[in-house]
Amino acid sequence: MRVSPANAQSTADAAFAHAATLESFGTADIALKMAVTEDYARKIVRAWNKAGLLDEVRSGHRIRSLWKVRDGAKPVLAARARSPEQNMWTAMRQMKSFSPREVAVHAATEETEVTLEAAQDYCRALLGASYLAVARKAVPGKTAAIYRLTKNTGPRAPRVSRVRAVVDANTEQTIVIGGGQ
Amino acid sequence: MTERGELYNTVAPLANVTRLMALIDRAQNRGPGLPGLGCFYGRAGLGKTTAGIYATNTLNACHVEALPFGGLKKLMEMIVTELGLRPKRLIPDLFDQAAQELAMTGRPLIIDEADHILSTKTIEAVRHLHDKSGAPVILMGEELLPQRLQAWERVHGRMLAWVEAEPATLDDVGHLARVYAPDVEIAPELREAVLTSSKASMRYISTNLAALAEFAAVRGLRRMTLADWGGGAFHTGEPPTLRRGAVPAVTRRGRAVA
Repeated sequence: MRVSPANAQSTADAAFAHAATLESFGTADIALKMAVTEDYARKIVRAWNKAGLLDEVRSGHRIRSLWKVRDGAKPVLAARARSPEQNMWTAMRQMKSFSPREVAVHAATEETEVTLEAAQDYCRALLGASYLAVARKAVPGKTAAIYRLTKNTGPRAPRVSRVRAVVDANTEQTIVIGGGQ
Repeated sequence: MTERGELYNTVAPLANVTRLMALIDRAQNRGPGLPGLGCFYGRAGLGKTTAGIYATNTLNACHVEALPFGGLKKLMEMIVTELGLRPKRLIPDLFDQAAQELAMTGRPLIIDEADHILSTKTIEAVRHLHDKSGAPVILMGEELLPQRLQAWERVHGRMLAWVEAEPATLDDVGHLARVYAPDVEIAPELREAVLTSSKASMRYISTNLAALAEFAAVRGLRRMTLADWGGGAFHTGEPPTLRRGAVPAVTRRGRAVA
């Protein structure tokens, strides 16, 4: 399986679920089950080890290291991995219409802090990309704008990214360097 | 508007959010052999969706909103898409995809507006999905959902718990006030007025508190009492009264009542 940033988390989660069922496991077990390279499996296992989810069964010189999942250990990685944008996007998709403040309040969880400014920025970016429509205009100093999600493209949150681009004033074209389109 | 302490800046303290989180927690950490289906029900506007959003974000749940059309295939497609996979074309394949992914990741499945999937085919499919994956499945819906689910003994019998969303309390109003009207101090009697006229519905409370905040911002008030509001109208969800002459008077038949 090809591992991309998009499915890295679910791969790791699935690998953990598999590892938890085994008496003991090595990196090869993970690599085989998840159809990833052994290097990648090693990376996943190292991350678990660092998070204190594993007990070492055996290791040493020229011995294949084996671990087992510590009793009651849960891959809390999944929840921790959610970004503020991901939470805001999830909230937006479920709310019919929302103000930036409502988005911030609904998106904030114990692990992920979402400030009002972050919600305002994200709303502005999505509005600029015409993912949002304005349901009620803002009155400065009085009320915030209320938006409505118009392009619900799927569960993964659109990211705001800074890209390097060449702007040609002659043809009025913007060409993203290294970007496909 | 300045940023306040982060403690208030979430919906976590709301009573109904806590209820749903506790339900999912029970379903996730259930004893061996126990079913993991849960039902969270209550009338509209009590904050079920808010609770759903918080649970989704906190537990990385798979949240789908059932539609009144499209049947089983659409539901399965939505679940698979929500799990981040590319949906296959046939229902059995979709089912396998969903069951495998739910089993591997252990993500809870939340089906909102479950009132729409009350047909033998879909409800049995959801039950099978639960049986096969072992992942907790939470059905959310309107207040009659438990009664309507009784028609399917196998589903009804597998429910770990039925949890009802309760009407808002004064504590909830206080919390929402810190969220929606952070710059205004709202007097207790005005809070009570908001609660009663909102019919304890989270949605109307939020709307009314936002209206109070706007009212205060315009007049530069730091503190608001019932007198400041001056008997202004609250958003109560009642339809407007009929205008006189809008509809011709119904001609009465039979004996006139004094």
